[in-house]
Amino acid sequence: MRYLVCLMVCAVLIVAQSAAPPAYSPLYGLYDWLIPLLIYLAVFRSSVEAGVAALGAGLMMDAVSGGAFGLYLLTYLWIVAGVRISLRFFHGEGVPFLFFAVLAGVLLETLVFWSAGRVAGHAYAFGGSAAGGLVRQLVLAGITGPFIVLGANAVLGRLLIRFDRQA
Amino acid sequence: MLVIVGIAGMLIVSLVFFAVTGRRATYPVSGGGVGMLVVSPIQEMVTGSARFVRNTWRRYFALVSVAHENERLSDALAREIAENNRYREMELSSRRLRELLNFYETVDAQSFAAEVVARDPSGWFNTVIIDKGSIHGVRRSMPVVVAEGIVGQVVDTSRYYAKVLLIIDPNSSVDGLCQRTRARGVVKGTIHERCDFVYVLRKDDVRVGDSVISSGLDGIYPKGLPIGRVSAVVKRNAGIFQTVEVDPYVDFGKLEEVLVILNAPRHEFQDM
Repeated sequence: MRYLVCLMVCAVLIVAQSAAPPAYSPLYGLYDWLIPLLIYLAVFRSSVEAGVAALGAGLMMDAVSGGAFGLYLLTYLWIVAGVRISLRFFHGEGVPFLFFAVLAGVLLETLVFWSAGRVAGHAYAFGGSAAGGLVRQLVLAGITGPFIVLGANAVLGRLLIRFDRQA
Repeated sequence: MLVIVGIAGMLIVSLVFFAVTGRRATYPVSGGGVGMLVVSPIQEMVTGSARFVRNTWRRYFALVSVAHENERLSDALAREIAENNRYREMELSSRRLRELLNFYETVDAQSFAAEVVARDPSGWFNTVIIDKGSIHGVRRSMPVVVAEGIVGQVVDTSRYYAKVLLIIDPNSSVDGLCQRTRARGVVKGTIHERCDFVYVLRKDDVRVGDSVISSGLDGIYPKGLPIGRVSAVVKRNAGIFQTVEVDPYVDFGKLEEVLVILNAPRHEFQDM
């Protein structure tokens, strides 16, 4: 049940990010809101829950995305793995760690997509509007990301703890 | 003789009878009450029956036809109301669909409309998902257009949905022509939501404002569909090609309905 709840939250976020036209999608054009959710699961929940959510969210995003299949899956698994590894060295529940974790997640996703584009032969260049878009995403992620993670812990965490008790 | 006497006697009695009753005309003849007492119930019964039959006919059997007529009129009214609502809805949406429908008639191929239900969540790829899939006959590489021009091509299908690669995606390529000078090239997508018209020879005459259309030689898009308008031309000192930027006619941020061309005319190439 816990995994189902996590996957449902991921699905809601995916729909909110991909609804058409963009006017109906409040999250379109911002940054990938699944990143703070996965960071929350990686920091505050178990590795299995975070892994399952990354797997499900990655497959769903790859299904609706126009990129090569597996890009999102790869990115999300790396984000979860990176956060879990970082928790061995840092205290994960503080805002500073969450701030850098979200920024790193957005940067990692950008790096993966940019690398995939370069491998495919596209002349991606981080100049002009592309660089502006990345900066905008980083600023938004830095400002809102840690609070989204803490908000998810406050709301989703309580729900998941209830399922923990039932289990 | 006896007969004559009898007839004369009856005449006299009649005259006396008429003389007496004619003088007291309002007075009932003796025995009339008895007659009424006997006959009137029957008359009343007959009259009542006749009236019952008449009323029954008028108020029931006749009303059946009225009820039928009422029902028919109610149905007709309901149909008219529904049709009126439909016309009103059509009127409201016709402005948006008129160009698409007019364009549908101009497309020399079988096509059907589909609705855009989702778009790529990332800013890296430009795809949309439409609400028609393989069960509706959608297959990979089918061109997708709107009245303004080419939208893209189908790259993936499921049973009820299909993914469309927009022409502004870096993975997209359309064989194009400059409409004015027939200069050929390939319209490729970029990550900046515009297109580059590449492989256009430097000697070709291409100017800002020229319209770029599909050539039909890529085997996917029918010939003559509008793609975009040239927004910039850069001719460098070296090189055999010039750099041409194209702004698509289609506003991809406002895509709602599209046309999927099922049997786009193909240009067959003869073996050399």
